[in-house]
Amino acid sequence: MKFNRVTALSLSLVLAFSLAACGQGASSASSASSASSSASSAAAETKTEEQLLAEENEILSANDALWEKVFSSMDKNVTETTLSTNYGDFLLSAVEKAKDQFSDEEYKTLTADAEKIRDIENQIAALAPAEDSASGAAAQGTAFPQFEGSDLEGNPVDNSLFAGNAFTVVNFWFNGCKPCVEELDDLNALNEKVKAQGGEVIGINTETLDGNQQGIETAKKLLAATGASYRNIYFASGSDAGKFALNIMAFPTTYVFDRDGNVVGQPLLGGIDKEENLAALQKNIDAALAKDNAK
Amino acid sequence: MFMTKKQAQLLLLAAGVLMLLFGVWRGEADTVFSKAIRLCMECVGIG
Amino acid sequence: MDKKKLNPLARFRGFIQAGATLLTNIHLPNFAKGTLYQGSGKYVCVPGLNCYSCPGAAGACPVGAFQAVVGSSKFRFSYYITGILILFGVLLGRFICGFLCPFGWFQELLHKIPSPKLSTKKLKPLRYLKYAVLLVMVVLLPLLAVNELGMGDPFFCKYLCPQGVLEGAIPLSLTNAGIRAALGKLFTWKACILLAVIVGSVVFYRPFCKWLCPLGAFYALLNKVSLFQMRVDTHKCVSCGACAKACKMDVDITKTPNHAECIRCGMCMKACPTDAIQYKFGLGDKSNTETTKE
Repeated sequence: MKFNRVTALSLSLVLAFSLAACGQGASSASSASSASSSASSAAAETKTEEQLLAEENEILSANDALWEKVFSSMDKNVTETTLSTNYGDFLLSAVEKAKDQFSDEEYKTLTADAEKIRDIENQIAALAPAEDSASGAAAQGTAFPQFEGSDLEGNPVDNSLFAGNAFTVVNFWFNGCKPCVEELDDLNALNEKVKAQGGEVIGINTETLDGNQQGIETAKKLLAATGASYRNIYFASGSDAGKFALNIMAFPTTYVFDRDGNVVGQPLLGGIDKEENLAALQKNIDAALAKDNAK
Repeated sequence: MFMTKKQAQLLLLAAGVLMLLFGVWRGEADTVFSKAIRLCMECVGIG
Repeated sequence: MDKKKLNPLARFRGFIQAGATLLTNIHLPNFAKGTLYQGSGKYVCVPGLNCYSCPGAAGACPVGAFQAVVGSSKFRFSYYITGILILFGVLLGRFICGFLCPFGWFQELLHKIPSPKLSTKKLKPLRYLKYAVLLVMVVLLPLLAVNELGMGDPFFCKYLCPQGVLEGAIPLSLTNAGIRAALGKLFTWKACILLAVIVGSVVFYRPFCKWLCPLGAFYALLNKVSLFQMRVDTHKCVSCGACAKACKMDVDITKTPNHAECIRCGMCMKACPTDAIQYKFGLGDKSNTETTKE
């Protein structure tokens, strides 16, 4: 009898905690997303999602009659996969299927329109803030904070490094992290590869912040042992950039930044020595490159 | 028996304290700390 | 059975377990924020099995911390964690399992779910598995299976520990999209283990503690010499066997009052018609110091 009461009480406590956690989770997530959306609207030169959608509609309505024909030819059972693909790609394949209903010129206009829409969709995707971006991982569109620091050799580095590259891959790591150390050689290979595209890989070891000598020595040893020669930088832990770095919870985390120092895509958690992680990073790199070329 | 339970207990307590202090002295606590404040992805079963 | 005479520790064990779990994971707002506590509490490990990647965790996990030190390139053994565990073990022994361990409590709560309950008496040999887990997954593999830089994986954490999924992966992935994206095969494997332990806990009493827990294994080694111990008053004992029948860890306390498997839960004390079983805390066998008086 006593025991049942204890059980009931403790179970209800657990339930209460989990409910409380859920409630707070939802509210913090929404505040995070509102913060990030305000951040993205602050970036003046990027168009809003509404503007982009309006552009899409304009393209479609310009050749209204032709598109009507495409739509009527479409398979009515739209599956999950077609919904999740880019709408432009979806239209392209629909046009392709209904090809024989159109003249060559009509076909060309339709594919051109679809390709335009595909590009706009990509822009929208790059712009949409992650619905539930977590704290600890800065959201899409957030800028890397202003900083002044140096690389492990003591050469000064600041935010101008982003402007010098089409995109910058920033890898956060620390010395005691096995998966981090095991991807150092892959990051070095990536750095060599993206040089030609105007990209650069930068490492930030959270144990080297504030110029911690012991941390820097260990980091240098690890970098040398894995043959990594790309730049690793540090800055003051109390600075905004330091807070950004210390806010990162899971290691390794790899961000892609554009020329303006803004986050592109969802930061990657896990080492790029795994194929699927490298693919995920490549997606962000491609998005950053496309953005840079569009300018 | 060559050792009473009480002696064994005292010996182990002393050994525990000494090992703890030795570990702290050679910097193990920092290793523990640096691992414990960050998400150990492989530990919790992510990736 | 006169309940008023029961030692308060045993009487309020459920509350103590709940309190210990809460204290071990006191940073509750972190669950909503999806972040980890990063204060100096993480320099020390907690007594029970509690993942340090749990958002609320107030300290480090002893098993995880041990592997982290052994697996680091700087050290090959952790005197620090071993020292702490010896102190915990000599002072309290498996009292920690019965009263302070969050994962033990979790399994006990699951066991309260109504279902056919199975005895583990015939599965006693499986008890030795946990010593193998301790030796192989916690000590040897992180020490020996290292890369060229001397860094090893925390094998127990990585491949076996269900607490990591329960306290780490699940709550964090609920609030963090990046972590959700990173969930892979390893997560699937460990979620299966967690599920197996959950189902197992409903039908068996504390299956993980009995058969797999390396922390329980370490404390079990020290249970015979722990200062917190059980005492059977042979003058009061009427040899009715009620205690052995009541014991869910399959221990006959009258024969081996400080058996490696005894988690000091006090169910035997509750069952004893003559109040012959008592907790005691002190050095040696003859001390009569009791932790608590009526």
